[in-house]
Amino acid sequence: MNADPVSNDILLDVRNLSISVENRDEIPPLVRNVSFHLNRGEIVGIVGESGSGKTLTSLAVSRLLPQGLSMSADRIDFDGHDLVGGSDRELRTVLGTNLAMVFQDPMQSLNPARKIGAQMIETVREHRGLSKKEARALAIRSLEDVHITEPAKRLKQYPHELSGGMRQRTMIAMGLMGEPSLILADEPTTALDVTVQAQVMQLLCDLNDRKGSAVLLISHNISLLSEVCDRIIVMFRGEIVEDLTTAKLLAGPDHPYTQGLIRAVPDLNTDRGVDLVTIEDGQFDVEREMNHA
Amino acid sequence: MKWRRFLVSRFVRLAFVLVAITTLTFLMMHLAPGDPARLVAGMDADEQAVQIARERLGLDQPMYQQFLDYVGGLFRGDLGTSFATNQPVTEEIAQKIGPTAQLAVLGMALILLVGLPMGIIGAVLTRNGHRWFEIAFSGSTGAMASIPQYLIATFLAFLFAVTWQLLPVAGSGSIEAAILPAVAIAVRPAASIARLVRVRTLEVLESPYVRTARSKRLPTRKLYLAHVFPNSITTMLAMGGVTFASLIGGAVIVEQVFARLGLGTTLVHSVLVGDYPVVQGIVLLLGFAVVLVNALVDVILGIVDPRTMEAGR
Ligand SMILES: Nc1ncnc2c1ncn2[C@@H]1O[C@H](COP(=O)(O)OP(=O)(O)OP(=O)(O)O)[C@@H](O)[C@H]1O
Ligand SMILES: [Mg+2]
Repeated sequence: MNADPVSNDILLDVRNLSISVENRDEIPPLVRNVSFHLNRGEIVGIVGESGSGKTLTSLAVSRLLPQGLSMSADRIDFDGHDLVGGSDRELRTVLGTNLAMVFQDPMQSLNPARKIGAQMIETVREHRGLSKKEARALAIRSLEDVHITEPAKRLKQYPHELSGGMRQRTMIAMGLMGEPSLILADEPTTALDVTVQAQVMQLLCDLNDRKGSAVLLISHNISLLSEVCDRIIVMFRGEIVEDLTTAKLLAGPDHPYTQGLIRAVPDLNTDRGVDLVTIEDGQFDVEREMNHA
Repeated sequence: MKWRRFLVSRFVRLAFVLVAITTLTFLMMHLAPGDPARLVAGMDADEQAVQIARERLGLDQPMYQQFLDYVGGLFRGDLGTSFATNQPVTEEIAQKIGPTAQLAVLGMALILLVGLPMGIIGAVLTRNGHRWFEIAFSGSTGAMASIPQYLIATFLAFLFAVTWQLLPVAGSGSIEAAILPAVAIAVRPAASIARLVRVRTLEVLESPYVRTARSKRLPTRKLYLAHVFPNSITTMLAMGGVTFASLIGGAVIVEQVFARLGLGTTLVHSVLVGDYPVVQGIVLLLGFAVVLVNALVDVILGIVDPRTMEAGR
């Protein structure tokens, strides 16, 4: 929105991204004319209620949209590569290494039939031509980076032998293998319990600090995002309704929907005696409030 | 450590099943109606001749004594003597096992080489949105999986051996003679396996871990071999034991249709003439084969997917 397109600080630039269901013109697009950008080293959050299009937006950027959905965009530029016009072949290495994906469900996102080590080393073996030995050494360092104990032993284990928090950190370590300039994390902590959630969030911030990887962090939880993000993008029904710095958000957002999101999240300051605001049709009529605004 | 516990548990289970099979075949033969002694002595023999035959066969002994003798014989590799030919049962089996083993091996190979790739290709084509293909696949495999094996056998024999005269209609000598019967017993299990593998592979293709693998931009071949295949064949392996059992059952019937001199034809013939030791010996052998294959499948499954080792304990 306020992006300066010529600045070479921009790592990811998305213009007018729309996603729709193939061959079903009667269904309105699931994501409509979404534009945003990410600077190098920045942590940006995307927040919005369930079904607002956060996951689809991130999958479109990484060219992993599920079968049956199609996308169009004026421009998606990642680190100087054209993700709209470019072919899979040209983009293989960039997407396989510079972009790391961390998914919501760590229990399901690692291959249950393969050892951790085999899963971790394949990217750099494939795209960087590292030898098995070099790749294993890198994997051990990468696991150390995410504070996993006995990393050499982990490489020989299967995913089911690790706890949920360890698996999510392993996913992150796997992404770090390619020295990514962007980590795309879609609700990386939702499936974990609260103490582990904090560790994983802390880890992402640390990595951003130490390695300079930008992070695009997707979550329902606006207060969680406001603790770690430089900037927050608010999505509602497939569109971006607000894109603002965290400082501005904390000072009080303009948009009634964003205000609603803030009220809907319990935090330490919330009076537990009062019922939480829920965002549901009827109780919180966004469109009506938007027209008022 | 984990492997030792797994193997011990499988071994105990195996021993248990083997004991059960041995006991059941023994009881089956001894509780079946009819008097073996009379059969051996001949229908028109007098009471005294029957009594002599009964003593010679040990049938006058109490049941438990007979059972102990039988089990003792098993440990010495002695399955008894055929009533009909007076040959040792082991000898009878050794002469007839060749054609049946040939059929089982060929049939199993056909099931794996046809059923598995069909299932995987079926899944990939379905996922790529070939709707006509999905309908054709489900229809044809569904039909093939439900036709009885003797019908397929008769149909194949009629078409290839009688009408077109491409392959021999009967016999057990050459490998050509084994082709039609092997196809006949393989069609049904291959179709069921193809169906199962397709459904399982579709599941795997949509799984979060395959999405993770896709995000790594590996070559397609690697994606399928390393990430999809190991997860989709576990279903097929788990079916392997049942498939082998149905293969053995099919072989017994199909040997009749193609007049092959194997264990199946011998089994049916021995039942008809009341040659109980032979029936007992063959049933025991086939039972052991099925149980051993099942145990082997468990071990392979444990290697391919280590989670089953823990789940199945
Ligand atoms: N493969 C698909 N085919 C059709 N519609 C889809 C598909 N995937 C998602 N959708 C729809 O697109 C919309 C946006 O989905 P998306 O998964 O991006 O939401 P989200 O913001 O990530 O929600 P959540 O917070 O629940 O993860 C939803 O209404 C969803 O039902
Ligand atoms: Mg989502």
